[in-house]
Amino acid sequence: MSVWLRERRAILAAAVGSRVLVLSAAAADHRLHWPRGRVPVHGASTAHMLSILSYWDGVWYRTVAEQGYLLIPGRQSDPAFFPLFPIVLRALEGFGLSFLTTGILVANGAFVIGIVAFYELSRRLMPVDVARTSAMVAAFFPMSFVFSMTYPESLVLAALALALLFALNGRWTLSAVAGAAAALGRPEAMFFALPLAAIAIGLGRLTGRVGNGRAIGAAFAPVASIATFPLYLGWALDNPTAWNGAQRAWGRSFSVDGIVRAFNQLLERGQSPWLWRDAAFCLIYLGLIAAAHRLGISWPWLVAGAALVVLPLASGTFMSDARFGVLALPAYWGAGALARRRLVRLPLLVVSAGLLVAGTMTIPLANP
Amino acid sequence: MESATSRIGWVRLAVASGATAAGLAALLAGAAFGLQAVTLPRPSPGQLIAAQTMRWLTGQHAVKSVALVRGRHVSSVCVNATIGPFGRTRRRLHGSLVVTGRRRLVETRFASFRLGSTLREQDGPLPAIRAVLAGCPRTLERRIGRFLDDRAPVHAKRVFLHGERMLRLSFRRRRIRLFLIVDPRTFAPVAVRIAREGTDWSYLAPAARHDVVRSALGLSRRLRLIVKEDA
Repeated sequence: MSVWLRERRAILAAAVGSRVLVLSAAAADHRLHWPRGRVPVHGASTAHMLSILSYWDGVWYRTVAEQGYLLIPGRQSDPAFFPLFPIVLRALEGFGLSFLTTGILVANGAFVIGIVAFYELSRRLMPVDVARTSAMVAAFFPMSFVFSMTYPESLVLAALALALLFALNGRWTLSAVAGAAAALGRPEAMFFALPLAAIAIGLGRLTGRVGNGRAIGAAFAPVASIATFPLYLGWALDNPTAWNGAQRAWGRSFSVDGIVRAFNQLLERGQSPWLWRDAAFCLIYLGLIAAAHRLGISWPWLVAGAALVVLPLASGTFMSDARFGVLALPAYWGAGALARRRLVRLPLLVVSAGLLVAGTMTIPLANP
Repeated sequence: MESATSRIGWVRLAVASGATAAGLAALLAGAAFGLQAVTLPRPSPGQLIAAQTMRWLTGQHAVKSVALVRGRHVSSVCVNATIGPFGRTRRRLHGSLVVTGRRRLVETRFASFRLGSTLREQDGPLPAIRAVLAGCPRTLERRIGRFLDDRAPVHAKRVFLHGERMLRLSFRRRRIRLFLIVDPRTFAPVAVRIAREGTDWSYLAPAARHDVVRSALGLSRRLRLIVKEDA
């Protein structure tokens, strides 16, 4: 155990250290009462020292945990949010902590597990030094402050990394469970059914066991899990299309010309300048995924990563694409390959950490 | 012979693999559904009916109403309208135009205006209350939406109105109360009441085209440029 820990000391230090930075920045915001003015989100708590980490969608996840789903026609409502995070919050309600405290503990705990699992996964696919750098970049990535918010991203990161790692180890049932959990957290996890299927086929060829049912089942698990959400909404709200209805009220409607609309929205007068942050990160993710290709990462991984970044644009907006992309695992591998040399790695991590603090402190200004 | 045996073997393997895959996926799907059903609370029947009523309201353009005010029947028509342009961006606001006899009122989310020969802003809660009692789809929808946003309790009770079976919804948030009687088949609101001194039930029905045309006649040409009925 101690050897195992010693080998991963740097990774654990990066995961914990980055969270210390994020939590300190959030506490500083609270202490300095910055930015002044009204709380940007209706119903958000302001009393807690780390309350900014529960802003924006965090309020909605808390509402789902407390009250369940309700589609309110013509208004922004909660069926737009997937159920894993509220389920976990509700399951831990018995410990007597507030939803906010539980949410922050769960998010940050899952992040540390997620980074270690991501490192283990990376080690299976690339040289150790690139794997280590990739995990460090993921920990200090400028947008990684969302992993500390009361959002499901860190749970999904952990579940996804574990699903893929278990698959590489041939532990198909565990992989299926983790994949299903990831898809219940964020629908984008579904894209990783592609690398799961590729692993199943690859291992099948290697061992000569072509028809491994559990491997195929593991690849389908995320899709099956996602399908249960509309079924649940149909049962609870008598409306299986509630997710689509809620997405429309949030200004998202998927269409063929969605990507064109997203670009047009960028140029519209009066749009939030923060949209440019999302557009910039979209380009960064795609650039890093291209770098991962040069590392020799196979196409199912690259397609999954690119789809995770590009497909949300079909809803007609770049909004939150910077956040969606934090789950594009191949992007971190691309960054790891580019920052393999110490000369590049150190400045990159320092700049990333600075941007991470800035990103955390500006949470009240814009929905990530 | 050998190839036929091997083909049968392949088919068996494929069927067995497919069944295992489907079984595992179905098992996980069942577990995922069960987890959601067991852990997450469901909205009350009253809240679901209120949401259906909001859906009905979003599809309405105009509603007419009759209320008993100081012993007299007062009829109103409320039409979805826009008002503006406002400010540098020349934005138009979505709102409701309430026509009660000769009185005309425009109610929006941000402000209310009384229409005479000119447009005069009206302060206080009264314009919004009038719009709710007139059954204005947008105002009523907003009012119900606020209750549902806060997940205020909504009690549903069966009642009879003019011999027909209806549902009475009671909304309560702090000291604010709203009552609605809705048709259980269409979820259309047929009566509304605000718990406030001096207000009684107001009876609602979708307005026909001729009600709307007749009501629009009262606007001067100048005001018709500012207040426009939604197409």
